[in-house]
Amino acid sequence: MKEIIYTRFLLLKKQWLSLICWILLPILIAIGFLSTAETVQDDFSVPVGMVLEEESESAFALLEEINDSSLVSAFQLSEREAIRKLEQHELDSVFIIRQGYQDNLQSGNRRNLLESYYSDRSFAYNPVKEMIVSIIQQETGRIKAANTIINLETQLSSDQNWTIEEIIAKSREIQIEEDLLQNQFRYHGDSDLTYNSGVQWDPWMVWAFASLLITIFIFDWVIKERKASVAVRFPFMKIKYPTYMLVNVLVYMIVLLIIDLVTAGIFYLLYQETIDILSLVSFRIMVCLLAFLLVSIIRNAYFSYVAAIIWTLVLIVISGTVLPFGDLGNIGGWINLFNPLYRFLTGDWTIGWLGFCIIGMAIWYVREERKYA
Amino acid sequence: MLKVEGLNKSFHKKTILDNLSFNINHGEIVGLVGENGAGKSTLLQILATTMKPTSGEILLGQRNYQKDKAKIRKQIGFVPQDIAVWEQLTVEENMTFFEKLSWIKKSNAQLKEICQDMNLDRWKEPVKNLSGGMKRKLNLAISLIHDPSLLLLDEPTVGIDLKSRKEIGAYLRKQATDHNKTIIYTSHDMDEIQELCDRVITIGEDSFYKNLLQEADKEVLSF
Repeated sequence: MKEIIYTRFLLLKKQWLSLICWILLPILIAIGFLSTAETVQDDFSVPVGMVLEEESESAFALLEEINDSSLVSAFQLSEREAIRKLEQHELDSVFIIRQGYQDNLQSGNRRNLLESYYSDRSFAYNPVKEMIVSIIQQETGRIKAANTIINLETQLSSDQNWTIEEIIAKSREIQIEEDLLQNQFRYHGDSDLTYNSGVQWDPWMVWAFASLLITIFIFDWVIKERKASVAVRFPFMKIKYPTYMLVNVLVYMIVLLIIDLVTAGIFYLLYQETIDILSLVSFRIMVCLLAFLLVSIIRNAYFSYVAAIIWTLVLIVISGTVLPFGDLGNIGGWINLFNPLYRFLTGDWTIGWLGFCIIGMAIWYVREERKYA
Repeated sequence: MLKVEGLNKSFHKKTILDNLSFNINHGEIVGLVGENGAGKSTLLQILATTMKPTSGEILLGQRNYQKDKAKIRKQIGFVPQDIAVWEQLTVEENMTFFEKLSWIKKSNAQLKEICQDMNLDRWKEPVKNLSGGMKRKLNLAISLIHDPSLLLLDEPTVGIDLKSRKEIGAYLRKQATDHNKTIIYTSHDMDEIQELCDRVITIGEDSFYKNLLQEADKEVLSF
């Protein structure tokens, strides 16, 4: 075995730089993807200026609610500063909360509560305006409902004695409980359904897809060496071709596993993400065997690259990474059977596909032994 | 040493080799000639154990090809027509690579000696930088690492300069004479065959090679 490892070392030392780049690529892809996704998400929020002529509780509540939206970033500024920034197109639009905002809200007067400025480049002015108007309408509706309840209470001589603040608080509570528009979905890898959450990328999920793709790319050595002119020498050697290949797969597996453990450390430091080591080990063994079997079948390096890319894209789709699944019922279950990454993405050991790959390797070994016998 | 008896090979009902029988002794260099498609490479592959004959018996010493294939392979040094070396490795690394996978362990000095014996002295040079003649020498040197007693060479000097060809020829003669190796050699170069080989086997219906060699007073066996 050490002889085979030495021969692999002889071949790899000529391409160590390229190999290191390839084996580190899944980590770099995961980190790059996550930081890009975060930046893009930040860049997509619309910057708006908020000028508070009065610093009332209602005015701050409006500002806070606008900021709660992941699509809008509201900056509290002076009117002069806000308009200057709008003129320089640093802000998409400016909204001024007029003096008397809180009193007008409470008296049910919805006219002239806000003043707005926009420019010829304010592409998001209308949706932002509609969003702010809907928040204000929601608040005025809430106050109106609270006043109606208190009036009814007075007319019916009830002994409940609710205050307007209590009614508004209760109203908010009911609103959260019975959200009008509720998105229910989950990503593979999430055990629970997620409600109205923003997109949270799991570094291990991104890494798993990148790792599968890159492992198949790295295993192109199998195709190249099988087609190499030196292959004709194997029948006359002590170490048979299937054994030589098998030990080499093992060498690659160990090297990649070491890198995977380094990855686990990096992800923990960067994202505080932990992983079950056995899940990672079973995943790595499975991916290496799968990559080996795939390139053994395809027999052409370029076809193997294309197949790897197509297959990874299909897995990304069926894993619900791009299109989050709700409840697919039985269909989802069947799809998962054909997804070698599913168990890893759900944090389990990759048992089924690993077993399948081991059987595949056994068949391959017997066939090759017969061929070289 | 090598005994072939009633050897036949057919592909899809087409007979390629028809009832070949011959003996080759220790230390003998036998040429194998014939027009393209006559069956030279097929015979060489059968003798190298990488192809099964349709019928017939082959013995290497006392060993039967059908029964003792694994042991027979240890005794065979096969030099393919295509240069079967790692282009990206140096001469030294190539020799070490194949020594590691070989039946016999050899020291670095012993490996270097094989190369030096055939004037392949660019030990640390990557193969991709070598001339065609040097590559051919390395192709041969790798096949000799495990000290085979039967050397099968499929056009080992094709496309190289006369000097390298002569050096390889001289080396093979030395291997046969000094180390008692049996050598079977295919080539289209009749001058080379006449100069190097003790006997010649011609294969195929065309009598061109047979007549040519008989005129040169060579012992010829025709099939």
